Amino acid sequence: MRILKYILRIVAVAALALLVWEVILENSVLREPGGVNSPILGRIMKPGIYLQGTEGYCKTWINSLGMRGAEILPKTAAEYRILMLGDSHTEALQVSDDKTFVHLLQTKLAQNTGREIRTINAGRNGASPAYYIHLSNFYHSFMDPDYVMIEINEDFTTHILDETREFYVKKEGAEYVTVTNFRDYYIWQMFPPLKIIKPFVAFSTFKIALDKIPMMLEQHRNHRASAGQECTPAVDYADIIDWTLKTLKNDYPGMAILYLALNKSESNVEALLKSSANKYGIDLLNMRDALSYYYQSHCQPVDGFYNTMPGTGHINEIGHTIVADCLADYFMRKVLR
Amino acid sequence: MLLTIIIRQNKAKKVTLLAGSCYFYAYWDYRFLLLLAGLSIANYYAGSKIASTQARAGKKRWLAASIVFDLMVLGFFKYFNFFVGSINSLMLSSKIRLPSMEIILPIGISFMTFEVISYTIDIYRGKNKPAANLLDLSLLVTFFPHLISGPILKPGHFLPQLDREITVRWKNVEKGTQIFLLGMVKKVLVADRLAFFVDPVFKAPQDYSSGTVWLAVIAYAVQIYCDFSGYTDMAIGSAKCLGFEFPPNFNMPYISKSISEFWRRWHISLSTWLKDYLYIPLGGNRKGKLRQYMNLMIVMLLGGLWHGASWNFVIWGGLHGLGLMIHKLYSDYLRPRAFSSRPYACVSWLLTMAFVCVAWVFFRSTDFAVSFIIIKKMFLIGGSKGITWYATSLFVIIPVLIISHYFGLKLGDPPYVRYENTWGCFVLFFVLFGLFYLAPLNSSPFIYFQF
Repeated sequence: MRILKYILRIVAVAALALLVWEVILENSVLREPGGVNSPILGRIMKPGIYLQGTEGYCKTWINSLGMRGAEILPKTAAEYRILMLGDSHTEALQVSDDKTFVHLLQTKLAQNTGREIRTINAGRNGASPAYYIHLSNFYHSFMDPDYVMIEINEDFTTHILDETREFYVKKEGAEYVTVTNFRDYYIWQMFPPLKIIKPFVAFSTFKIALDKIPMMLEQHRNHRASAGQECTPAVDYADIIDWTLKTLKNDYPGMAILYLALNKSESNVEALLKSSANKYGIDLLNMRDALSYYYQSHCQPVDGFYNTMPGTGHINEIGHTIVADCLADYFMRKVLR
Repeated sequence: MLLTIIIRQNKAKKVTLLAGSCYFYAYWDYRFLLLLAGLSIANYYAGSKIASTQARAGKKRWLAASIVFDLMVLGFFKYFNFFVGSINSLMLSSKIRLPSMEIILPIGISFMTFEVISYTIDIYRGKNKPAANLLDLSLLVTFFPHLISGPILKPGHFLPQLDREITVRWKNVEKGTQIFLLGMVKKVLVADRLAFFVDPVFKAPQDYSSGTVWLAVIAYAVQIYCDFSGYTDMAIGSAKCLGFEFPPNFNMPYISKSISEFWRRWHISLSTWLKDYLYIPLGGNRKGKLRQYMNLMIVMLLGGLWHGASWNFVIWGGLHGLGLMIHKLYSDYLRPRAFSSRPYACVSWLLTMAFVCVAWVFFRSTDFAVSFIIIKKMFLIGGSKGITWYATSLFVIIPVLIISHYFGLKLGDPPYVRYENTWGCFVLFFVLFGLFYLAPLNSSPFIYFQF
C-alpha cells in the first residue's frame, strides 16, 4: 500500500511537471499546431488557429483549408486570380502575411495594372508536384484560377518520389501515377500499441515527443550505420521530370514554373528541368541569378533568419521581395499584357 | 555500476567499477584498453620501485624512466604526426619528406598521462605512498567519470578514497544526480545551442560582419565554458553518486579581473597540475623575476600544446603566457597600491574578458588563416562588411548564464533538493522533461574529448 502510494505520488508529480511544460510549450516558439485529416487534402494544419513558425518570428492565421491567410472567397466577375502552388517556401510561415512574395505580387500587380488581382497562397509544407497533379481538380473547382504559378526547388525530384509523403508518384508499368498515403504519426507505424496515447496528441508535450522520438531513433540508426554505408547510386530523373512537366501543363494549361534555386551552381536536375520546360512550352522563372546577385552586392543572405542560420532554410523577407519583383515583372511582360 | 550497491566486498566493488569503466572506454574503441593497461602496469611498477629504492639516484632513475615512458606514449599518439608535419613544412625546399602515420588519438590520453605522471612524481617527492595494488592504480587511470575529459585527479586525493569502503548512499545519489543534471543542462541547453551560431561563423568568418564575429567569439567563450564545465559537473555528479569526491574544476572563470585570476578559476585541475609539476620544478618564482616570467611563458606554451597538436594551441598558450607575464610585471612594478575602486575593477574585468576572448579565437579556429581573418574582422582591419546575424539564442542564453552565475556567486554551493519532497521530485521531472523538449536534435560532442 505504501509503495503504491509512493508510485502514485511520483506519477502525479511527473504529470504536474508535464503540465507546466505544456503551458510553456503552448506559449513559446515550439508551439505545435497539430493537424486535421481532410478526405481530399490529406493531413492539413489545424484550421482556425494562429500559427507561430519555428524560423523567423511571425504568426499567421490558418484558414479552413489548412492554408495560410484568410478564407478563400468565390471569385468575382472582375477578378483575375493567380493560384500559387508550392511548398513551404510559398507557404512562408517564416514571414508575416504582408511580406510573402504571394502577397507582394498581388500588391505590385494591382498597383501596376489597376485591375482587381488576387493571389492565393496554396503553399503547403512538404508539398511536391505530386500534390498539385493529384489535387488539380480540387484546385480548379474550388479556386477557379486564371493563372497558376508552381514553385519548385532543387529537391522536388526526391520529394515527388518520397513514399512517406501524403501524395507521391510511383511507376506502374510504363506509366507514372500519383498515389495517396494519408499517414498518421510515424511513431504509431513503428509502435502501434502507442496509439493508446492518441487522445493526448492535442497537447504540445505529446506532439513534440511524437515527432522527436522517431527523429532521435532515426538519427541514432543513421549514426550507427553511417560508418559502413555506401553512397546511393545517382538516380536518372529525366523520365520523372519529363512526365511531371507534361502532366502539369496538361492539368494547368495557363501555368508557369517558379524555380527557387538557392544553391550556387546549376544541378543536373535543373538542366533537365530547363530542357523539359522548353519541350512543353512552359515558362521557367529561375531565381538563381537574382538571388545570388543580391547576396553578392549587399552581403546579406536571401534565406535564413536570426533564429536560424543565415544562408540556410527558407527564404527571408529579402528573398520574398526579390521573388515578388521577378514575378511581377513576368506577369506584366507576359501574362497581363 | 548499480552492482556496487548489492556487492558487499570492497575489492569486488572495485573490480566491478574497473570492469564498468573499461566497458565504457571499450565502447569507443576496445583496442585502446591495452594502452590503459600498459600505462597502469608500467606506472604501478615504477611507483613501487621508486618507493622501495633507498638511494636517491635510483629513485630518480625510476622516475625518469616512468616519465619518459608516459611522455613517449603521449608523444606518439598525440604529437607524432604534428612534429613530422612541422618538420616537413620546415624542409619544404629539400626533397626529404618524413612519412606520417595514421594514428588514432585515444580519447582522454592527455588526462591519463598527466595523472600517471603525477602519481610517480608524488611518490618520488614523498607526498604519496604507492597505490595499495594494481587494481587501485588502474581505477585511478580508468575510473569512468573522469576518464575522457578530466578533471585531472591527483593520486593523493583519489587513492585514499579507494582505501575506504565504497558505499552508495541515497544522499550522495540525490546530490550527484543534481550536479549531473546541472552539467547536462549546461552542455545540452547552452553549449549545444550556441554551437549553432558559433560553428558557421568560425567556418566562414569572411562572410560575416565585425559585430557578428565579435558575438560569435563571445558565444564561443560561453560555449566552451558550458561544454567543459558541463562535462566536469557530469563527471563530479556521477562520481558523487558512487560515493567519490572529485575536486571542482571551474570557479566562475569569467568574473576574473586578471589573467592570473582566470587561471585560478579555469580548468583548475590542469592549472594546478602545471603549477605543481612544471612551474615549480622549473624554479617558479624562486630564481628572480626574469626567470619567473620565462617560466610562466614556458608553462603556458606547453599547456597550450597539451590541448592539441596544433600551432594554434601553442599560440593560444603563448598568448596566455604573455598575458600572465604582463600581469605579473604590472603587479610587481606598475600597479598603484591600494587601487581597488569599482571603475578599476570594471576596466580590469573588461580587459581580461577581451583578452580571453581574443585568445579563444586561436583555440577554436581550424588554422592560422581563419584565426587571422577573425582577428582582422574583430579589429576592423580591412573592412567590417558581411552578413549581420544577431542569433536569438545568444540574447536568451547569455543573460540566463550571467544571472545564474550571479546567483551561483551569491549562494555559494548550489541549493540541493530532496527527492523525497514533492517539490524536489517535481524539480527532477521538470528538468528531465526540459532536457528532452529543449535539447537540439544534432548535439555536438564534448569539445574537450579531442584533448
